[in-house]
Order: sequence, then structure tokens, then C-alpha cells
Amino acid sequence: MPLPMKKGPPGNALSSPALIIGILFLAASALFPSESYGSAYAPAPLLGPGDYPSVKGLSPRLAVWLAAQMHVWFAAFVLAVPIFVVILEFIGVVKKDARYDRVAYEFLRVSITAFSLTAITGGMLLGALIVFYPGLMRYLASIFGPTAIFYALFFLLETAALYTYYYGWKRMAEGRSKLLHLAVGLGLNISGTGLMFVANAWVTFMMTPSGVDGAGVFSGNLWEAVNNHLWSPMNLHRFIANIAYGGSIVGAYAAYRFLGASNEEERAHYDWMGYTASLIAIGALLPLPFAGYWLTAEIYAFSQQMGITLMGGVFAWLFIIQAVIIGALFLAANYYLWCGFGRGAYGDAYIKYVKYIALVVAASFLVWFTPHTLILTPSEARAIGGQYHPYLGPLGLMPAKNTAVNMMLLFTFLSFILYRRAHRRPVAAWVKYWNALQAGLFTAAVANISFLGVYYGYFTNTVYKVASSVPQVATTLFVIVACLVIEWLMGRGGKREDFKWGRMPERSQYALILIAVSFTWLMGLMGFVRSAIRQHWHVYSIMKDASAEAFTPSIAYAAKVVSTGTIVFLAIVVFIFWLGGMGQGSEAGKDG
Amino acid sequence: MGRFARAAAFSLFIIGLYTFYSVFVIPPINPGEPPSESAASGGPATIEELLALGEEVYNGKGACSLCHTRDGGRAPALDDSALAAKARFSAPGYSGKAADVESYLYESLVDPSAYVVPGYGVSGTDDRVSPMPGVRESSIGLNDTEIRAVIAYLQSISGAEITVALPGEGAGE
Repeated sequence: MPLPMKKGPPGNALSSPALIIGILFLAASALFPSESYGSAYAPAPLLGPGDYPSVKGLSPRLAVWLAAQMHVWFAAFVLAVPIFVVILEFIGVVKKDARYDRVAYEFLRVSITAFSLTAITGGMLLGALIVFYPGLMRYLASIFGPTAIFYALFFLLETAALYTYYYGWKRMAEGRSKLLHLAVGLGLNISGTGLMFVANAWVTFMMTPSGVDGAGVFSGNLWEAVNNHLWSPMNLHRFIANIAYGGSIVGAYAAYRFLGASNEEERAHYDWMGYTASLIAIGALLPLPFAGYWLTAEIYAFSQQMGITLMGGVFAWLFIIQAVIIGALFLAANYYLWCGFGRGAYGDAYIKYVKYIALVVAASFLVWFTPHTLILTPSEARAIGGQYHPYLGPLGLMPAKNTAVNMMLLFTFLSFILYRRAHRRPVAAWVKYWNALQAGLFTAAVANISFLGVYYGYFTNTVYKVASSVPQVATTLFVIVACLVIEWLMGRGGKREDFKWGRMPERSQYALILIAVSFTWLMGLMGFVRSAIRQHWHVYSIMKDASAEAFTPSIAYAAKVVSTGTIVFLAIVVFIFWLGGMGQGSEAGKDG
Repeated sequence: MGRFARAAAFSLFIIGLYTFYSVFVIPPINPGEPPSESAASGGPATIEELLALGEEVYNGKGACSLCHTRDGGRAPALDDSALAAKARFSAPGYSGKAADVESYLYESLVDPSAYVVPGYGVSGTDDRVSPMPGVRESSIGLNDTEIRAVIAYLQSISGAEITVALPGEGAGE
């Protein structure tokens, strides 16, 4: 089988970046010898402006920022793709449906170049950090130096597993070989996730240092430094977010190929691929806010000041931008599902409900979007009687936001239920009772979520404001699980028509592109705020940033940087997909 | 090429929209410069500087003003804390070791459960446990200079005598 993009023996394409990473880590260890190993550790260095090498015309912070952002985008993509590739391959084996196997292989094939780029951008990031922030890297290496071994080990394992998995796809396609192939895929995911966990230890230590005293003197307990306040929540948050992100990028790829499909078969294939990928993306997006709650709670637990900087200080407006983007994501996801009603034989019957769902999703979006404190001129503040709008002010509080996000999740799920019914028609007489039960569950959930939000949010002690979000989430999750079970029971023995894949309007594919672009931009923005809440600290409260660029940039500046990065990243991704398309062409030519 | 141009134009439009919103619609806020090295490490040299640091910590790093508000917040207002101190460390529920206003305020910052103002304890503890974290703990992380600056500030807003000594003047706890 000719390989899509690479020439020469397997491994050549990635061996260079792997070598770069390995050499850089060894170089880092050599450059920053752990003079403290086995003896007393030194405190965090007190740096001055002269400790930061400069290159004329180059902003060190911007260079590190962009390199880090590119690396994180590529890494998120290449960590996510193998997760759902293995899942799809497994489903294909269980269902004995070759479509899953084909699409899983195509996912992996289009992303293979991104592995090399992840390693290259990782090398660039490490190089930039060593060059521009040697004092910081020396201090971090004095604590985390031994973890470089794990990093290198996971990297090598991931590389070996990736190439075995990719090149062995067709050779290990049957019987026990297929199971072995799945096991290799599992190994690929474990090593990739382990790699991320190691990198997260360094990053989270900079935010919530532990295992050191107030002066930054390391206790010698590496695990304590690794297992800091944010390590576990960030591991979970990134793991879930990566899946959502990978799904969105593959969905956009499928959308692009759908738009250029030359025949019905190709159109149907990419429609199915786009749907599957977007389902994964949105499915992973749903639990993400809850992982985010945990992450934020740990930030507050470590430092209230850091939490306040994040949620109530200069970055409060950033969360309004986040709300806008997540609102756009939900609207796009719902729109895509509504367009999908046309794939099923019974979809027309549900179109009439779309306007009501749209109304609820849009209203929830507007509540989420409403800021609490308004930045006003003194005369404006006098005119409305303070910093809070007299009518809209209460909508700016967290209970209103929690209520809105649960409504949005609930009604997006309703869109999904209706979408599923577009190709199923239960025939049993008792179906109307199940329908009534579902309607009752939804109504009760809406009432309960509203009551919890309004009563506990506004008419009881402050302590309950946040606590009430837990039963709200529990209500949403309960309804989702209960309705899925009911749907399954209703579907048994009913009429079921196959979806007419490919029967989608072209405009629906732009919803998938919007989801991918929005995810990319949002990741960049949230990455900025995560890092920026350290403010003028390299390691929060332990090691000050004394460089000329220690100040916290404005949101507007960050937005411009994120936009520039997004354009560059997406341009590279398009190039990768183009290469993938060429590879597919040559493969098809040979097969034909 | 047509579809590529359309998809690219659409993507750029979305990115442009988000950028426009962030740059022109969101109020322009420029976070302050990092504190200068002298202010951060040198410590206050005069009572005025000590009070200014105390006010800054009270409203900023210490996060005191988030809960200690006049209008029914999670914690009692502190605008008469120095004046009320004597009655509190003489109260039956007091379990600390303070003997004067300054040491009481110090103790209530680093060990808030030594005395809990009735009605402000953790639910179910009969006002024996304070929900407030000690200010030395990592969630707040005040150093000794900052704690003494906050005490001076509390004495100042209470209209009481400022007894806190400047750093280096050998203040007794």
C-alpha cells in the first residue's frame, strides 16, 4: 500500500522530531544540572531584567506564547484522534461493520502528519523557553528534571505504537491480529495521555506550586510537586477537551470533503463521517463545563486571590466572550441536528418543534451572555442607579448562568432525541405513555432547574448559590440517561428506516466548520487566561517574572494573538488535509 | 477552488467576528503593571505607606472585602473591628490567647476560629468554627508585613489608635 505522505521506511518522518525532542530534553538536563539532587535544594532565584536574553525585534513572550499555542493545538488534535479511532475500530469489530473501520483509518491517515508537527512545535517551544527564560527553566528542571525521563519514554512508546498501529492497519485486519491491533491502539492512547500528564505537571506547578516552601525550596518529594492542586483537574479537563477538539477538526475535514464530493457515494460517506465526528465533539463538550468547575474550584482552593483574578477581576469579561463562543457552538450544533432531520423518513414531522427549541437555546444564550457588573461612566452609573442593571443585573449572577447552561444542554439533547426519531417510528400501542413520560420528565426537569436556580440563587443564604448547581446538573444528567433508556425501549420492535446519508443541505456543513474554528479560537483564549492569572509570576507566589514583558496583556491584545495563531494553525491543518487528499488519490489510483 | 475560497472566507469571517467583539465591543481594560520591586519587597517605611498597603491587601490579595460587607455578606463588617475587639476577646466563647486589640486582630486573621461572631460560624458548629481560611494558608497567602498592614488598616477605619509598628521597628505580636 503506498503511503499517503511519506516516503522511505516507516519511522523516518517522525524520527527527526522525536530525536529533536529527545536531544532537547537531554540538553536541558545537561544545561541545568540538578545541583540540588541529593543535597539541600536552592530557593527560587530572584531574577532581574538582565537575566532574560533578548533578540532585537523579537518579543520573547510572544514567541513562547505562539509556540506553546501551536503545540497545544496540534497536541490536542493528535491526542484526541487515536482515542476515537480506537473506539470506532472497536465498534466496527463488534458490529462487523466495515464503515467504522474505514472511517477510523481515514481519521488516522489525515492526522498522521500532525504528529510530526506536534513534535516540531514542541521542540520549538522547549527551545524558545530555554533561550528566553533560562532562569525559569533552570529552576523548573531542578525540580522536575527526573520527569524528562518519563516524557522521553512515553514519547518513544507513543511513536512506536503509532507507527505499528498505522502501518499495521491492513496487515492486522483479521482475527486475533485485529485484536492485537486494537491493543496497540490502546497502548498508543495510554502513552499519549501519559505524555500529556507529564507536561501538565510542569505547567500546573507554575500555577499552583506544591512540594516547595514559601521561598521555593523544593522538599525533595517529586510526587508532591507533580500532584499539585491543578494537576488532576487539568488532566481531566484537557483529556475531555482534546476529544471534543479532535472531533471538531475531523468534522470540519468531513464537511470540506462533503462540499467537494463528486458523487453520491462520496457525499454519503463524508456526511456520515461529519455526523460521527461532530457527535463525538458535542458529546465530549457536554461534560466539559463540569470538569471546568472542578478546575476553577481547585484554583480557588489554592488561592482565593487567583480565583478572584480569574472570575471577578480583569478577566471577568473574558468569560463573556467565552459565553458568546459556547453559545455559537450550541446554536451551530443544534442547527446541524435540525438540518439532519431531512436524512430520516419521518423527519418532517419534527420540524415544527425547531422554532421552540431555537427560542429556548437563544434565550439561554442571552442569559449566559449577560454580564454582572457593567463598566460604565459615572453618568451612566447614576442613570441606572449603580453598576448593576436594575432588571438584567440578576441575570449576571452564577445561578442564572447555571440555569441557562442546563437549559441549553437539555434542549440540545431534545434536538438529538428528535433527530434520532427522524428515522424511527415506534409502533406499539403503549408508545404514547412513554412519550408522556418523557414529556413529563422534561417538564419536571425544567421546573426543578428553574426552581433551584431562582429560589436557592436569590432567596436563600449565599452559600447555597453555588451548591445548588450540583442538583441542577444531576437533574440534567438524570433526564438525559432516563430518556435514552426510554428511547431504547420504545425503539424495540418499531419501524426503522436507514438514514439517507448525504441528504443534507450544503449550508449545514458550514455549521461543522464553525464548530472547528470556534473550538480552536476558544482553546486559544482559555489557554491565555489560564496562563495569565499567574500575572507577574513565573511560578505563582514563588518566583517573580522580572522581564520587561511581565505585565498582563489586555484581552484585546490576547484576542489578536489568538486570532493570528488560529489563522496560521488552520492554514497548516488545511495543508495537512490537502496532503491527505493527495495521498488518498494515489491510494485510490493504485487500488483501482 | 470555489469551495476552498468559500470555506476559507467563512472561517476568516468567524475569526474576524470574534476578534472584533473582543477588541471593540468588550470594554478596554488594561491590567495594571506588576508591582515595582521596591514596593513588593522593601516594605512600608511610613505609617501612611503601611495603611496604603493594608487597604490594598484588604481589597485585593487578602480578598477580605469580598465577604466582610455591610449589607449582609458572609462575614461581619469590619469597620468597627478594632473597637469591638476588647469585648470579643473577653467573651465566653473566646478560645484564643489575645490580650490586646492588636494581638486579637492578628489572631483573628491567622486563626479565625479563636472567636466566631455569633451567626457567622459554619453551619452546624454552633458558631465554634469559622468558614474563613487563615490568611497565612496558601489560598490567601499573606506574609507578616501584609498581615500587620491589614491590622493597621482595620484600626484606622475603626477610628482606633494605630498600634502596629513599622517593619524593622521591632513590633511585638
